[in-house]
Amino acid sequence: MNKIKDIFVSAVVIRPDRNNILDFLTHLSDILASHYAHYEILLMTTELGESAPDLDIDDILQKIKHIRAIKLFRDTTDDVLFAAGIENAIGDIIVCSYQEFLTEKNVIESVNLCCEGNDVVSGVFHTKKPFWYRFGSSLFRKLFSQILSYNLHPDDAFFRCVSRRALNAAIGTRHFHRFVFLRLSNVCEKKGYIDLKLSSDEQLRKPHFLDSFSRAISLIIFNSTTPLRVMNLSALLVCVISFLVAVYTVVVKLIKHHVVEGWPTMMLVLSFLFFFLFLILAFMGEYLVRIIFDTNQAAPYHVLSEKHSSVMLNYDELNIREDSVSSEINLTQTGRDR
Amino acid sequence: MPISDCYDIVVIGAGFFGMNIAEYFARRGKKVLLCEKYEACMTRASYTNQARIHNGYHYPRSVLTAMRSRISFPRFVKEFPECVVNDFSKYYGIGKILSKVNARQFEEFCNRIGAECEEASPSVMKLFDSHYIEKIFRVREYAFDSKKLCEIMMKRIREANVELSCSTSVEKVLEHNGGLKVEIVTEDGKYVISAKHVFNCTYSNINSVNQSSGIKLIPLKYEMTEMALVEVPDELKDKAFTIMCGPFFSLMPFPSRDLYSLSHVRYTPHYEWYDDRDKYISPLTVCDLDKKETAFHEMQFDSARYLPLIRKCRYRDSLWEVKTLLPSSETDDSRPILFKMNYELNGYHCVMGGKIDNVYDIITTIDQNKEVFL
Repeated sequence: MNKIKDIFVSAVVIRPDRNNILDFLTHLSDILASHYAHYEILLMTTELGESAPDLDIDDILQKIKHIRAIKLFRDTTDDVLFAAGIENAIGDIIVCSYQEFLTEKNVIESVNLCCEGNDVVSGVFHTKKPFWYRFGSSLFRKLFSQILSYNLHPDDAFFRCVSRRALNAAIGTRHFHRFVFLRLSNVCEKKGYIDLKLSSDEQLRKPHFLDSFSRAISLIIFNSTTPLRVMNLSALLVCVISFLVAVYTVVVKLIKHHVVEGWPTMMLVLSFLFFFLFLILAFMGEYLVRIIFDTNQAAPYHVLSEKHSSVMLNYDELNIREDSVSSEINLTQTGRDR
Repeated sequence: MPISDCYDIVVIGAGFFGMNIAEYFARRGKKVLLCEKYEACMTRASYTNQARIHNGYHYPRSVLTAMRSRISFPRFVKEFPECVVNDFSKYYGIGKILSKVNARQFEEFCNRIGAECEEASPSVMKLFDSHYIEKIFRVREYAFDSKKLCEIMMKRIREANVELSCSTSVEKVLEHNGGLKVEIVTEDGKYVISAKHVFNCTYSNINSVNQSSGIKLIPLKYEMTEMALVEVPDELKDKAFTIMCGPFFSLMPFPSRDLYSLSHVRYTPHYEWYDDRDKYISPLTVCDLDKKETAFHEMQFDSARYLPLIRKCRYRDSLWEVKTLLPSSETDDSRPILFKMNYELNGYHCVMGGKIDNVYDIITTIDQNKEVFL
């Protein structure tokens, strides 16, 4: 018989798999009930198209206690779903991931680490990734880890266990919903890692090139103005070169009178200048798009609906303790700061 | 002096918990003696508190304490209508900086425990500095008049035939012939009585009896606390405010003095300490010896950052009490009732209640174990 920890744990499931969701939730609910005094499970889903059948939420809510199902509008990325999930959870400690990572071992181990004072526990999953991903990831870290304060583990997986204080600190940062992992990583005092184990018959979702590339570009554009500065400097340099070429052209014109001979050089210079000009314009255009996107005041996500189990609390439990001290370690400190 | 030298139940401490426990047993035909150190009942922690009838809002970080308060609230209001003060609007504000919960989480938490809450009107929002306050909620929470509550409880224990002995200190509780021997000191002298069960309900003084009886001390944390009693400006009359959930403050009506109480998470506790068996000093002695230098100005200045009208409050008095906390509550800010049944001695039970309106939980627990007591 496990000793039940007197903490409130929220488990957030991102895009639950409708095929075996009942078995999974029953199992997860049993794990949480047998280890923690209070718990809830949040199912984070999005509106699906007509072709894809939706989860039978009502059936789940009837059968399993302590469930909240939150549905967001269709065009919501997994990062935003993740951020919305942990933001709406009310536990002292929140475990959030895809269904395949929310195994007993991963949940218990990460919550224990969190209780030991690690405000953010990240899941690490060692797996063979495609060459383009390894190369791109390595290049990205070398070039940008310093300027972006990018300190996520190379094998970082879509799994976090966070304390309420870390979450609340991260929520206040800019672009929290878009870069939830980076923000969480940057606000915590102490970080922990666990090696994730998948439940035996699960397959890990594979990275997609376009998603990864888009994520890398977003990280750069949203988190640093250094690339813009570099482009500005380049523009200045090209201006200087352009000026020198103009001077050179005048000098050649004054000294020699065979202008035709310089025609290939002129074309080369013009091509060179236009290349840079357009490169600069492209970057500036990208920034402009982001600025427009960022200043449109739209909410980071839209909740379509929220439903919850008919049983959410144990009303029979009395507020009585037999001991004045607790032997359990819980350094996440949601009590008074002292 | 006690009428008899033999009782079924002796309750030490005539605070709200002690009186309720005494009444419970007396109504079940038990011979009950209720010993109170002071001249009157309910003069210490049952009087010196925020006079708040909790409806759960105060504990977003401890769902159990919140839920039990929520469940007890209507029961308490129904049972003690004469002492309930509900002629004011209660607001909970969520701090932007340093708060451990945000407005969304607070709202979600209220929904979860089934506590009513709605966004406050713009006129109330205007009272606050929006730089520091994220959102204000209007909630359903009342205050109680502790003097009236005491009168009701006095009547109830009289009707239940509880023998009340004021100005009576319990010196020692010892095991004796399968029961308990209780040494008491009254104004008339020292007496020894026997009892089948002894309930120690003395809140901060719980370890004093344990210490003098040679019983292991219960690990407890004490805080020397001050609650300022103030007159509020007209704009704040008929309103009460609590800012959550961190180093913030509460401004609540204090009906028994017809004033408002101002308490602040950072400045209300002046200092804290833990018991030391070798150098034990009764918390009541600590309270008596304390210089009692008010921190009202610190409370007022900090609170006024959030609610500027607090600057217009006029200080009248301070209430001082030793607040007693369970060290285990440090991590989640919960306020459970500590109930140590048969603590070190068979028949000796220690009860330390966190909140007045949570009294039903201890009565239910005693009732669930009635075969032990009745």
